[in-house]
Amino acid sequence: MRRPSRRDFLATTAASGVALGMGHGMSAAPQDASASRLDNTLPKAEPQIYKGTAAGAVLAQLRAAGVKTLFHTNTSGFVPFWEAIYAAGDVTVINMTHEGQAVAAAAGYTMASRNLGFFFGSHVGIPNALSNTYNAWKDRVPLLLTFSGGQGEQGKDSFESWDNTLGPTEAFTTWRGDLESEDVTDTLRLAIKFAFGPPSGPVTLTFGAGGEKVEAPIHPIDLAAARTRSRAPADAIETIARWLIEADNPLFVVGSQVGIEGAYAEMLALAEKLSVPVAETMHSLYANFPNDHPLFVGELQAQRYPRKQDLLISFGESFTAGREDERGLTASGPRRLVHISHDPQALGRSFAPDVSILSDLRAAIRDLSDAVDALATRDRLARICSSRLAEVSARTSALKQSREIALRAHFDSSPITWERVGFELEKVLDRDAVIVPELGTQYYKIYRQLKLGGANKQRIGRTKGDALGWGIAAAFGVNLALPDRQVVALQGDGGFLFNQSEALWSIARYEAPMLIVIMNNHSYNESRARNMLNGGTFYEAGKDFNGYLGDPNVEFTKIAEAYGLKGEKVTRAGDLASALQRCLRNMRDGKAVVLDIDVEVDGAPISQPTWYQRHSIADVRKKKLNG
Amino acid sequence: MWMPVAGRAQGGGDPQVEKGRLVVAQVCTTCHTTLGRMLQVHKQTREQWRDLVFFMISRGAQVMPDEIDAVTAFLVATAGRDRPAARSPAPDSKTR
Repeated sequence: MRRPSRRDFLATTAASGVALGMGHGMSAAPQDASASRLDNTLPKAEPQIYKGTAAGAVLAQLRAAGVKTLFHTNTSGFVPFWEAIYAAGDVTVINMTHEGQAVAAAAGYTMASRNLGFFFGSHVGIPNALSNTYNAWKDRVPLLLTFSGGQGEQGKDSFESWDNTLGPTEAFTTWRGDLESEDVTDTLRLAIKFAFGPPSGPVTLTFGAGGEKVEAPIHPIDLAAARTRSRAPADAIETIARWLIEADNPLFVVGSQVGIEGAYAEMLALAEKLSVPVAETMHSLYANFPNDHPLFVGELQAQRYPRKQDLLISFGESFTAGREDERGLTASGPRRLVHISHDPQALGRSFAPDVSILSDLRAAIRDLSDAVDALATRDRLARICSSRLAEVSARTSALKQSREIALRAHFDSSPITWERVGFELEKVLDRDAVIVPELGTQYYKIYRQLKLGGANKQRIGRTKGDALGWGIAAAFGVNLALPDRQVVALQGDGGFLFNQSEALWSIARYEAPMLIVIMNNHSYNESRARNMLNGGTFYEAGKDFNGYLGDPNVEFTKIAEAYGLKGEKVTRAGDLASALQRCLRNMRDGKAVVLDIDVEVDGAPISQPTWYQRHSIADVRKKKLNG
Repeated sequence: MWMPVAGRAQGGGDPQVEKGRLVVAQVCTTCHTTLGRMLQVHKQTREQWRDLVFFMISRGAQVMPDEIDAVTAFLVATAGRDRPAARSPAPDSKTR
């Protein structure tokens, strides 16, 4: 598609009455999405007419959208759909053993492929699917989650049914509908539109389409253009460009929408053009900027530099972390705040920007870059760039030295430090490996030892939803989408125990050569540390009712072996490098490995760290059972 | 109502402690809004505080190399102790 010129765009926006979203008053009422729309997701081409079963029409429409990988969890009720899949011959169905894991896998697949995740299963699995549907909604992942059955008579509490079958999903979906034989492909096309938004996210559908004979229109759908697009008004871009050139201490916050659009190169080029330091929020979903770049200054809320920011521009960050993001946005005192987002619902939602702009990120970044070029001479840009680059580089270089000191402080300690794990992973993994983490806030100790973003390793996750039980299946979905990349799930032991061993079944069956690292500190250390941070009765007693996970200490390697996978256990820092080499050899042979690493417990120490509330059913029973 | 960090530091007059106080005020309180309370609760040895500074640097705290000793000195002056508090649990120990 031709990229509209600014002149064309101005003419279009003037005709449609698009207004600038400038000033605090306007920030609460972002631009009208429909008015600034560039593309229309309604197919323009004449449809082909499919003749066959309604379930077959669903598959035909999915295939016409390029969706050929489907996720499924055990149920009856899909025979006509299976028959269509069998007849098509080019569709892969990935069986998962739990609906929640299937949704996580579909989400990981979608985040890595930018395709559409499609799940079909039983309506009684809706409650199982909910936590990862919630995660996908928080991550704005386009998914179609379809469920057979459940259309029982309302109010009768019938077998395997409840009123309003899709009602439980309402909070976590952008739309809900019924795939019936009448208008089956129109409904499906509509569902795809709602899934891609913006805002994008899961759509749930009852799957009533069965063996009925239909004649249904099949539209070719380009998923890469499925999200309704928008572009910033030229005068808003020009204003921001002027602010950017004139700012003494600007800061960029690079958010997840940069990753969703894959606008990494554009983002890097703009930051480098004026040597603007780049931060991310603590819940950034992707590595949106190379973290080894001299302009990368880390997390927004931890920002110490530049101390007196006079301009902050957020590129596609939704600022959903609450207090942490709020502190990051207010820590530097008054300054101009600009929020650019392709999601109208994100604009002005968590804070009041001076300018809120609804635009595709790639387009906005390019427009801003062009406007900067138009407003400042090359010499002026070079002067700004060189003086600021020296200053920012000195800062980021010093911080790197501090991290190196911290890494070396307990380099050889056992249990192994998180920093050491990151250090060893960086040494052995491919440059373009994909990391899928589900860790507590210790994650940064690993991330900053890994080279992430840009041409380096990619990171997908942790899910912004933080509902544990996502990471292993999501990583499996990533591996399905990216079979030629090393995929590494970084998982806490506590998170793994949130129903995740089921995902190993699919990982084994489909021979996903993943590395699954269990950061095993035998505790829910995130919550333990937070619970103890401000003292109190239990801290003084040294007792924690929630955190300790030992007794039993889970043998994760044996869980792996139960699924026919290789398990490795490392307790000493000196053994980590050789264990990783063995893991990589197994992966090269097409086998996943579970690597269980004994890692340190960090944070506030307590006097009885392995205490837990003792209760034994065996002790309290009044009689022994027969046998 | 907690006193500002500046009001609680012991070791007054020690330039290293004073430097650490300023860094802590800039770096730590952006996340730890209840830092005053935390320093009242958690009394640690110099070695433990130093490890905690390393731990926080790895987690993203923007402490420069020449500030590590100063931050440690401030924390020791404000919330130090002579003997170690409890360490991390040994994975196979069974204290109840």
